[in-house]
Amino acid sequence: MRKRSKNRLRIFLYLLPTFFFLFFFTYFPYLSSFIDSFAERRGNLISFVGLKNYERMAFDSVFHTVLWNNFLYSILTVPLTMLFALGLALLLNRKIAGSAFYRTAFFYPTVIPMAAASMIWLYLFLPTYGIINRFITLWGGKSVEWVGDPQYAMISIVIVGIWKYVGYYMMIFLTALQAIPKSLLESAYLDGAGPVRRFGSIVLPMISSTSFFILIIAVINSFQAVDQVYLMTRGGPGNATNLMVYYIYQNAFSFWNFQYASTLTVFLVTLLLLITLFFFKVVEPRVYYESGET
Amino acid sequence: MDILRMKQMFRPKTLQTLLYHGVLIFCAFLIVFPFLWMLTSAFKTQSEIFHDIKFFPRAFHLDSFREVLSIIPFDKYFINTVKFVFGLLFVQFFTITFAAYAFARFRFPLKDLLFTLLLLQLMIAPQTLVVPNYIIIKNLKLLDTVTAISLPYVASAMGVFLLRQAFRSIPAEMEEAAVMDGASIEYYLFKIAIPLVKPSYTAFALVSINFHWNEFFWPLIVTDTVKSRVLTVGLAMFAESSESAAAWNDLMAATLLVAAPLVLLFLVFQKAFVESFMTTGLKA
Amino acid sequence: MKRSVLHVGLLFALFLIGALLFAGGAKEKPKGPVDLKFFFPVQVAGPQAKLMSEIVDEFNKAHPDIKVEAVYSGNYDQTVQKAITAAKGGNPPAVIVATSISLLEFLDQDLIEDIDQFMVGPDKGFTDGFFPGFMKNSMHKGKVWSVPFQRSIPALYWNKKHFSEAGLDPEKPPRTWDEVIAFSEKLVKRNEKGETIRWGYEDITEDTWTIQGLILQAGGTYANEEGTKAFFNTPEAKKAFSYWNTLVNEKKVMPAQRFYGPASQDFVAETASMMINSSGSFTFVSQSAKFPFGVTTMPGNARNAFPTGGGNLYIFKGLKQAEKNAAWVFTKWMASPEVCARWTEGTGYIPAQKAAYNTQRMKDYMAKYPHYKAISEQLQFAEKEMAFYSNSQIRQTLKTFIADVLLQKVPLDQGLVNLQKEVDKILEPYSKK
Repeated sequence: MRKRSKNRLRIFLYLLPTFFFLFFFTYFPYLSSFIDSFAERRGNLISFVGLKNYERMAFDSVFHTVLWNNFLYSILTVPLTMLFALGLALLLNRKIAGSAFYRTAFFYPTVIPMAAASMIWLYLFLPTYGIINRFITLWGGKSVEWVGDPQYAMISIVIVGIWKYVGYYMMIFLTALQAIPKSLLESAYLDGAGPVRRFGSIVLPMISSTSFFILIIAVINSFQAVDQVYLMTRGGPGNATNLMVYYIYQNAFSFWNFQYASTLTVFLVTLLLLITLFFFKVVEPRVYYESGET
Repeated sequence: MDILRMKQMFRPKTLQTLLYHGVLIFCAFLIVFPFLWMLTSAFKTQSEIFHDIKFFPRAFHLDSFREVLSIIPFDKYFINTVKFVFGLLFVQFFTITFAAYAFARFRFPLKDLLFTLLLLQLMIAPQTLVVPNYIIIKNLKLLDTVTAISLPYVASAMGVFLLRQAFRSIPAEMEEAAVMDGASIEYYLFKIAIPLVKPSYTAFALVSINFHWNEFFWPLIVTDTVKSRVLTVGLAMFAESSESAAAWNDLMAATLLVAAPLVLLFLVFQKAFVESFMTTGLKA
Repeated sequence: MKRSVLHVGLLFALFLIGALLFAGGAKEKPKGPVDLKFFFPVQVAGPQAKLMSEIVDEFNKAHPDIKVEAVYSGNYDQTVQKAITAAKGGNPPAVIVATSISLLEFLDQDLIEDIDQFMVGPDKGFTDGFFPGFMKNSMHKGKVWSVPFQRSIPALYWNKKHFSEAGLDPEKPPRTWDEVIAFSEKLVKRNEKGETIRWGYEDITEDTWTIQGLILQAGGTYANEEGTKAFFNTPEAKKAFSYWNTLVNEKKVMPAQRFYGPASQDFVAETASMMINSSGSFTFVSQSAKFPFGVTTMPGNARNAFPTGGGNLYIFKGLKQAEKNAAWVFTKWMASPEVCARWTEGTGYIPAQKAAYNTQRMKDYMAKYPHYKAISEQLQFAEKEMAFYSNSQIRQTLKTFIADVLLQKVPLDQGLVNLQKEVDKILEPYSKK
């Protein structure tokens, strides 16, 4: 009995620091945004305005553009990054000379700050003397206003997003691939299964839980991307590359409308939670796990 | 002899290997080139940037570094970054150790719910909560301090998760035996359990360092002056002045200086780095 | 058993100590000199940050009782953001350099001190020494709120070498919109595939400053005196926007998107033959260009006019009396003829202080760069820069509109209707008052 009550205090104290900070910097902010989203500022006066901010959000054409941009960004970055990552992982998943070198080469962008990556790519993307345009024109192509043209601006930030994360995801795929028992593949080979069959019926199921995991973080990350938007395009031209977090930032720290920014924050966090719920309730049950524990 | 080698080269197996390396080298080039181009551009002069397309500079000028260091208080940013990253790591060591141990070894009501609540943190990055968190920091009167940058990261779901797995892998009997001998749980935890799961701590430390060293948006919001600015924010500040927009050699030198510490750390401790990311990545 | 509780306690004590140490706990009490934080932006190309810290160091040496810390804070927009953020966080900067048009935004949030309160005793009439054109944006409801500092006007830069090559008189820049179009068509260079390899003309389409000049020149205006009403859907404004549209989409002699820095880069890299840019970009261009070039005011249309631009000095609220006084001493010093002349020499900005022109330094500078005198003589045509309540948001809306039109995502007429509607909505809370 005594031991129990003593342990109860201990458990409480053990959990306290983590949950204290978790509460104050993750849950409470969500709540306080929720409360702020019902207010409005006039000069230095703040008043309750009911659902006005939500109404505004519903009819805010910039917000619609931003949301669409963000979907576009996710749809472009997530599958491409995963595909490239898996491709590279498959290439490296065999004994070849120099594999350590390749691994380093693919992985290093993980340790480059996004801020630095944005600068590097901005430099590569320069309109007239940027190296990419110089290459393109050298090979007879048409030089491109990478960050100055709305379509290419989106592609630019997508490229940076892929470049930064592909090596990281590749490494996770590689771990999963290396965990596949060789005997399984060998017996399939002896049974006459070609490389495509082997990939489809053994490799793919065996890495599906890994893919699921990467998919979630990639989607969640794509909805919170902001560094390269801030540093490369400032959401422009127009609002062509304005993404959710940047729009929140703009409303709060450029337009000084914290209440509307809070409304957008509530929207984004709720969206993220819904996405998470969707993945775990709808997608995960269909994922094959090789062992009971996850 | 030559013919023999030729034959060998054109054996299907060799050809396949060559093709293999071809593809890999091409991919590696695409990924590595941006960094190398930044590296060499940092040593170029402005007119080379505008008018040449040569990969190597005519001579390795250090002017841009001198220029950058004279404009950016790099040393202060560096110290702030180190304070932020390592100070945070120190605090995180305690928060995650205790929470992880509680989740790994104790039974208590609402355990699953609390754990789920904790894991939800993985889904919400600090940049998403800039607005409310900025208000909180403001009310705490902590704006423009290194502490302000660190606070949202003190609770780490990833760290707790990782260590919980690690602590679970230690047989429970060891704890029981230690307690039987009259040791307190804390004694056992710090003298026996933690040393046993050292690799998990290393993994967490490297990921934490990398993640926070590269953090940009939240520090940008809560810092105002040189007193608390970190390297990434300093870089952005430098880049934002159209002053540097014209001087890409300077900007690349600044970028190099900001990225270099971690890249060097990575190149030296490659294996540990990669493994850390694989373990934390897999389990987060 | 008790011991273990003790252990927990000890560990938490350790944790707390660590956390406190980490918090950098010690808050040193300032003793001795009054500390002032000074935020300044760098908007145009040039080594300004270094010069600024030299000037501030000198001030500190000359005033042992005051210690100014110069904080470089990005471009204008970010400086305003940072200053407001800091002020709202209860830690305001003492003095900042911000665009003159940030005034209403500062007033709306009650962030700045008026300057009139300092202009007493020997400082009475301090602002009388400034060009009236540059004072227009400092005034609101009969009070002075800021001191002009680094002022600029939009200027036309042209590459004389390209002019000669294209068969134009290198000493005759275009003076009207029609001439700009005609000259640009001669100057633009395309490769065999029809792609532009050299722009005839560049204008700052990623900002909302030079377009104001065009609206004024077309005979229009953009805001009412109070900054509570905007006029964008007018025939004059339409003329201005379609002028850009013609240059970009019909004649294809001008790129759709350019900001100050990239435009200067294109000009010095000779991938643009003419550009409109801030007069403050002059130093960078003159140091980097390897060809003869000229500078003059914007070409006109129905009338000759252009907005003023650049930054003013503001003193923030929330300072202690001693700090406030020190902030005024610093502001006065920064706006003094000698410092103004020095700043002009280093940056190319226009001194707002008349007396600055009498300094030897300024005389030497004007002898070296004769065009400067010509620009200064044009200052009579300078008008108030566009300033609204919610200026940032309106500028953002306007920027989006410009990009949409020039990139042909929205037809001009439709876009103007939408723009006016959106801007009216933003100003609604203020226009009612």
